[in-house]
Amino acid sequence: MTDLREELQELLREFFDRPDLVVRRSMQASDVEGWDSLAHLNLVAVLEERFGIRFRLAEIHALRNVGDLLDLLARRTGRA
Amino acid sequence: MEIQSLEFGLFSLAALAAWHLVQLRSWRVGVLALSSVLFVSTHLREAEHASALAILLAAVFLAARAGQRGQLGPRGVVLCVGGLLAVFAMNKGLLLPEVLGPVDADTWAVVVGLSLVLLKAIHVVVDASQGQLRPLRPMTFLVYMTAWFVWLAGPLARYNDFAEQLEEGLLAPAPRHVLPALNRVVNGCLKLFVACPFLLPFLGVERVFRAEGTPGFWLAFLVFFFGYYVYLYLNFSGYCDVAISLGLLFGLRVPENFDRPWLARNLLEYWHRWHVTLSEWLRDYLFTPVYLAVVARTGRRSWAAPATAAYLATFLATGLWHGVIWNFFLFGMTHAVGCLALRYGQALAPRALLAWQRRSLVARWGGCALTNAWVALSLLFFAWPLADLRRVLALAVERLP
Repeated sequence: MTDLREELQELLREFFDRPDLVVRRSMQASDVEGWDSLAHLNLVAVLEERFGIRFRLAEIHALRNVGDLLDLLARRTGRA
Repeated sequence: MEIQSLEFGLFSLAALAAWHLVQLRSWRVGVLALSSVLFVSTHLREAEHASALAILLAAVFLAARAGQRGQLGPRGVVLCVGGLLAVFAMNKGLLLPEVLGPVDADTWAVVVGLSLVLLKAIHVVVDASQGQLRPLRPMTFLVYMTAWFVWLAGPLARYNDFAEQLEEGLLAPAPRHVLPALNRVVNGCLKLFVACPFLLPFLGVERVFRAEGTPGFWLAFLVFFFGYYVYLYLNFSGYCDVAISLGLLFGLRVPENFDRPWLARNLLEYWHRWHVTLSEWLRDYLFTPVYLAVVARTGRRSWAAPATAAYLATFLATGLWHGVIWNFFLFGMTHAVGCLALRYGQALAPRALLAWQRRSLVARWGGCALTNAWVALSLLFFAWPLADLRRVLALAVERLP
């Protein structure tokens, strides 16, 4: 999970152009400037491409924080 | 059986009495199923209507079951959703009109094509095929699809939330919840049966025409302009108050559908406050798939093209869902253009301006006023013939200083 967390942190830093961004499990979209509903969908597309997975529609808007996203990525990629 | 009828009140009391008399959860589900079938049957004028509805429900159930077993596949899902949309097109007289004849209350597609039934059906089939649905049980499915207190206008619950309560809860409401629920039923009825009928005579275009050239013109115009918005809110939220409260009295949490929409600071926020369950359905099953499909073609970082396509598709569908006439097209376009203007404005505005907008009370209340005016304008397309509307708006423009 630590690797996954670091990988996600790098990806979010690049995506939101925030080199100092530190990922916390409790972090929500509202904590990151520019993470609105459209950015969320673009991020989903980036994550799908990076991890070679396909999110289900119900999963995309059920994410409440970064912790949920990490758990979902771990589940879908099989990486603990 | 309409909500404003004495029969509806008596039916509600009888169903509630039967539900509270039985203690076993399975019997309570049975009471809900039986009362729903009885209620829905009052809307079925012919035997063929009942047959059509039964066939549709059975087909959706079997398709969703196949989806859960991984037997449906993407093409199967597309076929099912296409079939459901075809039923809807028949409902609107767009498909096979020569076979179905004129669409009226005697047409089976009117009953089967009720938008809420189809929206629930699409949700169940898609989520089942993606492994996101609880195991389907026939009785739970039947109650979910036909629950009588939300049959006509929602709110639009999701299957998992509804099924979890039916299969694991369904306890009698605590005494401290009963009085607020009854209070809300009364509030809903006051909106429906007192406020709406009171407002109705003030809404017509004739009052504005009669006020032409008099000092009372602007008052008549403002009442006309905002009147239908207020009327629709009172009517729809009143119905939802009754539906949500009845659900609570049957031990079910029905999702809220309105969150003080007049407080929305912009059109995007408005859609998080008005008909919330439909907004979320549209976001999940139309906006998001369209957006992601366009992102896949245009690139991962751009939002402009996918957002334009998704807003246009979502709001045009929302408008045309009510009927294929110019009025509903204009309603959809008003919202699509409004949301897109807001998105582009937010993207292009300097950060300092956006920060001021977030802090400023003037921006907050100005945003509320502008949003409500925009929504009221869009809803006028719902209510009035375009010729009358054009004449009223022209009169107002002429009298502007």
